[in-house]
Amino acid sequence: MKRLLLLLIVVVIAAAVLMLLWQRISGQRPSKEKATNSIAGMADWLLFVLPMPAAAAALVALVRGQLGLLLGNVLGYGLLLGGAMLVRGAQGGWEAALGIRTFGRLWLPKTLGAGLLALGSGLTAWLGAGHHPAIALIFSLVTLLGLHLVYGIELPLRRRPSGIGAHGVESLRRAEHSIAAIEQASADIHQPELGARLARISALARQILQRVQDDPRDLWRARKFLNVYLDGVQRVVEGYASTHGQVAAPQLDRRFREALEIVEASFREQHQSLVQRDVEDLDVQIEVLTRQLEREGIL
Amino acid sequence: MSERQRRLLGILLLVVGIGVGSLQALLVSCHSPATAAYANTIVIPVELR
Repeated sequence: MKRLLLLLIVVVIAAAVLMLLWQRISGQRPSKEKATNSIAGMADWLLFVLPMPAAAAALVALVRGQLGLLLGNVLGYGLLLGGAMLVRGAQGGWEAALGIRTFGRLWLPKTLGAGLLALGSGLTAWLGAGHHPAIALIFSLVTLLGLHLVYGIELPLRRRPSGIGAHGVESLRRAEHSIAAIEQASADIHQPELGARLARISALARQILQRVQDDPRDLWRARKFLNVYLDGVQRVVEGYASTHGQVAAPQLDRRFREALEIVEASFREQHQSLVQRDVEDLDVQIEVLTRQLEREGIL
Repeated sequence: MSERQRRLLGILLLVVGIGVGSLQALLVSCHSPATAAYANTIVIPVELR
């Protein structure tokens, strides 16, 4: 009778989860992007719902005095919950809130959360369900693969800029700091127009930094931008943010506005030149390939 | 494989990896013999004594 009741509870929970899944998938699909986002939202929600039986198992183990199972389930549920919070927090922009960008963004907190979730599922399967450690490892790997497919978890080694060198890494770090300082200072300038322009400038600067990380050859091309321009913009914006509230100087405002226009244009030009260089590189590669195919008599 | 299919497959794997493991843990803890002192106490009905 007890087993039947338990089975009934499990079936009801599974049916409820499946019904919700079906409603989310088939309920409204106005656009592909919205459907994809709703799936991601559903995954966020599932990360908290799926480990609940482990919490119930811990409660049952506590009532029945099963110390081994209690520890296994509590540990497993704790890791699963912590991992879910980290992954969901990363989706909500904790990285920005914590000021963790570029290098840090690659592994914190989403990848760390994925690691905890994988470890938690493995431990629950091993210590909670009593599976062989090898089977528990497979549970962990399945979880990790699922997280990778849903959230695109990336290992830090995969995207860490290579071939940049210590000096390059330091330049990027300084540039990152300058962009964060510009964003911070722009929050103190309570003028929507200037705020929007500064947001565009920061976004362009980040795009340039991203290109440098993706292709270390761009480091040399963007060295002046990284070492001179960003630093100058940071000093000017910080100076303006600290003085404009205290002194009414229309001429200063006008000159600051003009300076920002020039900065935005030059940042855009810098970005375009990096993109153009990539296009030229690709063009050369296509040319080489075409000639090779012609030599082989294929074309 | 489209983005949507990829994510649905990912969700299925999450259900298997986390959901199945924790459900099994619940089943195991419900079916394991209790070791608490009270739970181990055998109650013999009066009519069988």
